[in-house]
Amino acid sequence: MVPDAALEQRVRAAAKMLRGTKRMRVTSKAGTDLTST
Amino acid sequence: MGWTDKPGTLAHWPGGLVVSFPKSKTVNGTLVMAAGDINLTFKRYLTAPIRMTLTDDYVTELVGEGADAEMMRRYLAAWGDREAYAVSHVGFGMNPRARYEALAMYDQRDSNGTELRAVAAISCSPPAPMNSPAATPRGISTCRSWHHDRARWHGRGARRGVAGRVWVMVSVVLARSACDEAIQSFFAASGLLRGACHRAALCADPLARNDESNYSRSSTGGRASPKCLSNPPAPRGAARERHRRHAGIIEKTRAGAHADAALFHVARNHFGRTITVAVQSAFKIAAGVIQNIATAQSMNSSSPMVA
Repeated sequence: MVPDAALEQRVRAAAKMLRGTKRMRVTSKAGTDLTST
Repeated sequence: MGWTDKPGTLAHWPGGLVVSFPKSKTVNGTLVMAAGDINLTFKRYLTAPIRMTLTDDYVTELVGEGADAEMMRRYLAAWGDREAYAVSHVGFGMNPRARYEALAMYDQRDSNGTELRAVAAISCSPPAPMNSPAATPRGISTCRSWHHDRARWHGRGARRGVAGRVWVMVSVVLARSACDEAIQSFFAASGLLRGACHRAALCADPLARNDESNYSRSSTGGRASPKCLSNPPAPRGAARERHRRHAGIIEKTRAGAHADAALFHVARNHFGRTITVAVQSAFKIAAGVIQNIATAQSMNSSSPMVA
């Protein structure tokens, strides 16, 4: 599992998205319903 | 996220994690770990569900039957510390090479479950696949839940339609520790962070060795001090050149705001062979085994087995 350059762009995009996020809500069929800021 | 090619970033092995450190007292709700989710503290795939209620960052109720729930209850209680019940961070993994079943392939002391933290679950629409868990850890007591969940993001990202609603596997790391504090202060960010890290690579904890065979047990035996390795500004000028010559594996950082932390980071591997060596070296340094960075790096250059 050596570094994969192709992954970098996607991860950076995800991190960028998180930076622009103020609140996160996580839900699941199992019953999770969690929020954080 | 696995790349430390510029100042202000942290290294992680394997790459592909995005985590956030929520604001204080903002994590609330219900967290259900279903059968098949993973508790990386015990390195177990759960066989029965566990339902946790979180109130202002702390697990206030933990319900479930069977060994998984019972062990979690006892383990968290054993510390006698409320912080054991605290959420550290929340994130997801994005590495398509990381495998869900990997934890089953190793004995408990052979792995720290690092690969599991980076497992990518289901890709979402553009531009980024939003997937699985992230995590970390080591601190006082950690308790990681890892499960398939759906996350809804609010903010600019959502407005852009980047990920209004995505499926993710979320890993919530419970327990605050010196490591957490160091990382949080390092980022000095309020609200959802923004970044990716991995404390198995950042802290002195036995590293997961689950992708190659040239594993030196002696280099990772036992738990070392829980220092964090935060990621500092890269050396400049002559110092930078010197570090580069030493394989670019580990760079000692400048003294700064976090001079009391273990200020090293794992640089990008230029040789395609020694990313693990870098981390092993970091462990030793954090444990105080290696006193001289130059010596350590010289050893690294000569043999990937000697950190």
